[in-house]
Amino acid sequence: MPDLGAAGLSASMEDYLEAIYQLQAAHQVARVRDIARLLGVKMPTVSGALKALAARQLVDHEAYGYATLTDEGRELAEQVHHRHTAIVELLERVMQLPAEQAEDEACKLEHALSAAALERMRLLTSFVQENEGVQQQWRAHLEQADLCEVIHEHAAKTRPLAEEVTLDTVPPGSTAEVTRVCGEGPIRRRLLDMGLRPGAEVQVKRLAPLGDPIEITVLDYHLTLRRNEAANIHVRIVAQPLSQVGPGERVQVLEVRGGAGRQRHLAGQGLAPGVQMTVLAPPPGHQRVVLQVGEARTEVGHNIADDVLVRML
Amino acid sequence: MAEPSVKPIVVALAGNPNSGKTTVFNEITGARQHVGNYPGVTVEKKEGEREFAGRALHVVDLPGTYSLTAYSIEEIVARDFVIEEHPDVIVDVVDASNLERNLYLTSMFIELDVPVVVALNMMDVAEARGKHIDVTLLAELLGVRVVPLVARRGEGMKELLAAIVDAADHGQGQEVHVNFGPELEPHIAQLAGEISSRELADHLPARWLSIKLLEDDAQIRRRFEAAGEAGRAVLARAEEARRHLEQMIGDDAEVALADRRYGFVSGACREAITDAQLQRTDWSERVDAVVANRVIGLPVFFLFMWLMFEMVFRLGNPLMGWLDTFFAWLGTLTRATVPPGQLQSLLADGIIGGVGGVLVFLPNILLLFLAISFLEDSGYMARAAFVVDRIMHQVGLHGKSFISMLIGFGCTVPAVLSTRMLESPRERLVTILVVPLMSCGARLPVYILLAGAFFPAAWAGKVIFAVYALGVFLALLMARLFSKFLLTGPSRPFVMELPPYRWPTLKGTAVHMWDRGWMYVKKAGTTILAMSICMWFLLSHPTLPPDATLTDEQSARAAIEHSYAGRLGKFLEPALRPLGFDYRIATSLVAGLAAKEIVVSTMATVHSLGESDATSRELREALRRDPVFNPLVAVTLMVFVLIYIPCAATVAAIYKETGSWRWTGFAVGYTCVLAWAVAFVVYQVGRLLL
Repeated sequence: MPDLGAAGLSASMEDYLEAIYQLQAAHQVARVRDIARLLGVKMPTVSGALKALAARQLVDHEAYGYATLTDEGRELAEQVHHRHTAIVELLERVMQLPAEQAEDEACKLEHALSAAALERMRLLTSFVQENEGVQQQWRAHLEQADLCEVIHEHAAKTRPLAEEVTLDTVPPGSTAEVTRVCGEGPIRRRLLDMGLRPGAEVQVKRLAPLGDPIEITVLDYHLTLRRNEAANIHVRIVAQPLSQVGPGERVQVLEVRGGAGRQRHLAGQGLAPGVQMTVLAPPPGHQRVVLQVGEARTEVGHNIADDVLVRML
Repeated sequence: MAEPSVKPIVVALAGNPNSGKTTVFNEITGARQHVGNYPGVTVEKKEGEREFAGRALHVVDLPGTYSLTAYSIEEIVARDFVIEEHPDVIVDVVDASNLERNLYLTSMFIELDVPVVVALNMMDVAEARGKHIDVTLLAELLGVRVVPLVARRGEGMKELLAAIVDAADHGQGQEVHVNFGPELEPHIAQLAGEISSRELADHLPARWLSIKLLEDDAQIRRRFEAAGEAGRAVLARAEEARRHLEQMIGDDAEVALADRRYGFVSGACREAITDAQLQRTDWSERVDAVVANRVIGLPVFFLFMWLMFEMVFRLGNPLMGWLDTFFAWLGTLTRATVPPGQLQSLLADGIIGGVGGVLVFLPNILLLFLAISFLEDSGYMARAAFVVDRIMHQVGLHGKSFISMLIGFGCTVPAVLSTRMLESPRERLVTILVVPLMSCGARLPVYILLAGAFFPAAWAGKVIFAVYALGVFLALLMARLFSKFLLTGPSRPFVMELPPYRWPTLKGTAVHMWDRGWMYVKKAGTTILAMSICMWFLLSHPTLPPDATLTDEQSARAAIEHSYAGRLGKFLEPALRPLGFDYRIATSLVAGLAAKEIVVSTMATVHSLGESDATSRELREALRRDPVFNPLVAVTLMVFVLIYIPCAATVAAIYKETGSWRWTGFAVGYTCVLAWAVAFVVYQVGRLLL
């Protein structure tokens, strides 16, 4: 059996073999025009390549306009094809990339891989496919990571959409970004000196027992200021606790605070990072937050809702 | 040994509050330190000496600040010291676990053309949080010497001292400036050029002056205004630059400058810190979840205050009793050894009584400062202010004022001294003025006597409680009036750091306690002594010739009625008539100026009774028989005693803390007027109703 590794074919030669293999599988024969279209090259280029492959007795290219694989050529092409599918499978099934992207990237990757690396890829794919638990864990992990992407993109793209409010009105537990610092002389300067400059991220920790002053964190330290002072700071809310969201609002979960147990528990209820949902009006006297997640309806206690950070949609 | 001809190296010790600056200062100077004030202001100035490698160091502790603006007195003091006194080295103590904000101040010091040594304190805390700091790289990025320290364990102090000496001998080395970017830099350069060419810089760095002009710093502006034509030209140029910048960046230069500084600092931090992102338990966070909690925050605060109160007065009062006994014994001894006469009276009653009267407070004061310094150094004080600020803010005070007022329930003298923990001079002064209205322990015997004599047991407690409540109400009311009408002006930002909790060091707490205690003995002591001698003179002069026909009690009564205090009482009688008081009550009140509990013993004397205390049945019955007295007069008198002039020791403490006879006089005057007015209302309204 001819060995693809030992055949010493160039990347484009491999591509031609694979293209002919695919076309033959579909139409019995491979026309030069179809090969050119499939690989995105000009017809004379295809003819040149076919001549080279014919010289190595991998294709038959007697009739103009047509090419068929020799037995040896078919075997090599099959290997190329299997390698390709293995990579596509990994990218698509395991890595969860869109099919088109997986196809595209596989074409670029396949020629550079050693047989050993390819074998490992196959093993990894089958291992993940066969283990339900591993698959779930991996998906959750992916979602989390993707979400960070979403947050970053969101922060970059939708900034002008978020409403500007003053810091004294931001509910405790929320994270906000400073946009402007107003106020007169000493107070303004003090705020700037303490690190509250435009672009800084602040988190509102809590209100004092009598509602004033408030405690925030900025630059990784804790700061307290009176409400009338905080009113000088204009911010955009980046994230806020679910408990602070009014009925009727649509939100997306950004983060679930607390231990792994709580995160698993809430994920079971459909409350995982990335999930979008609507806050519903609780029935009168009801002490819990009622949510519509997809088709399902679920509810959580207020203290748990404090630890679910969401952004408004 | 240091060469006597070599001048000592002057070191300015600077840094953020809570950066461990005081610990570094104590570690460097040990016991060789002295406390004073910066000239002209009531900002405390600590200085100390140290010898190292044959060189003498003179260390000046600058006030802890976050910045160097002209908005706060501490910041002005700190920067004035650097630019006017030109120390040889600035040591900037920096909290390594909160590097970014701490280095912001450093970025301002490196513009002042004095070699800077960054003391990177609390390295252990930073490491524990998973932050590794590349000290060499940081030094390179900032262009200054950087020495890692754990000051509370004394680690790195030798290296710090070596770096100080090195910096003093060899200067800064490389020049690093904050790059303020393409918008600001041309303006800074142009202004600096103008300042230099017009020779307006004096001895100050021109670049620093231009930055301050762009910030529109009031103090620097005045400096240029005073420099005539050339100065005004530079100011006009700066004004133009500020306008131009505002158009260009859409915000004023102050914001842009602060932003660039933070940019410079966070850039350096990003490069020099490797953060392991440890998942650690944030203990401060957990403690705050309880002590700053919305529901139980206040109860916890009151629990702590109660504990402090209990410790100070429960533990202190027996010690106070022993000291009292000791001075009484000393007095007896004096009377036994010195022949009777003026000298004996002066020594036994005036001086020993006076000095004793001061020193008996010492245990309470030491314990109180132990508690306060523990609360401050541990980080709880900031939380306490956070929890109760709302109440105090409404009357124009700071959350911390509340603590002084609570202490006032125990004794007014330490309460006045405790106002030092307030940073704003205005809030401090208002707090000092109203603290005497909090009913102190010495007033209680008077209430017990009067309430006990004129009200059934079931009512006596309620009456006394009402008097206390009236005191609190008046204190808050007066604070509101004072801060609204008397001490106006822009109020200081409350914006305050909540530092991470730390165990206070024994040394730090002990030094703090000793400083305060000693200051009290030394300074307040002298004033109180003078006051005590005055009071002694008023109560015992002029003397009566001994009259053998009278009993001891009768002669004591005759003596006091004959004395200046008695005459003052008679003189004041018409003024106090509308309150229902006669000359004997007036005399007791005059005597009460020495200390309010003396009102009780004087009351006994003027009723021709011997040694009496508040619970003495004889005295109560004498009062009940007295036609001048009735329940209404008793209440009026209690109200008057609550409010009128604080005792001599308090007056001395007020003088000591305000440093002004005017404010001391005001405190005396307003309490007098207020006492009369409130007592008048109580008595006259009471008469109409009853």
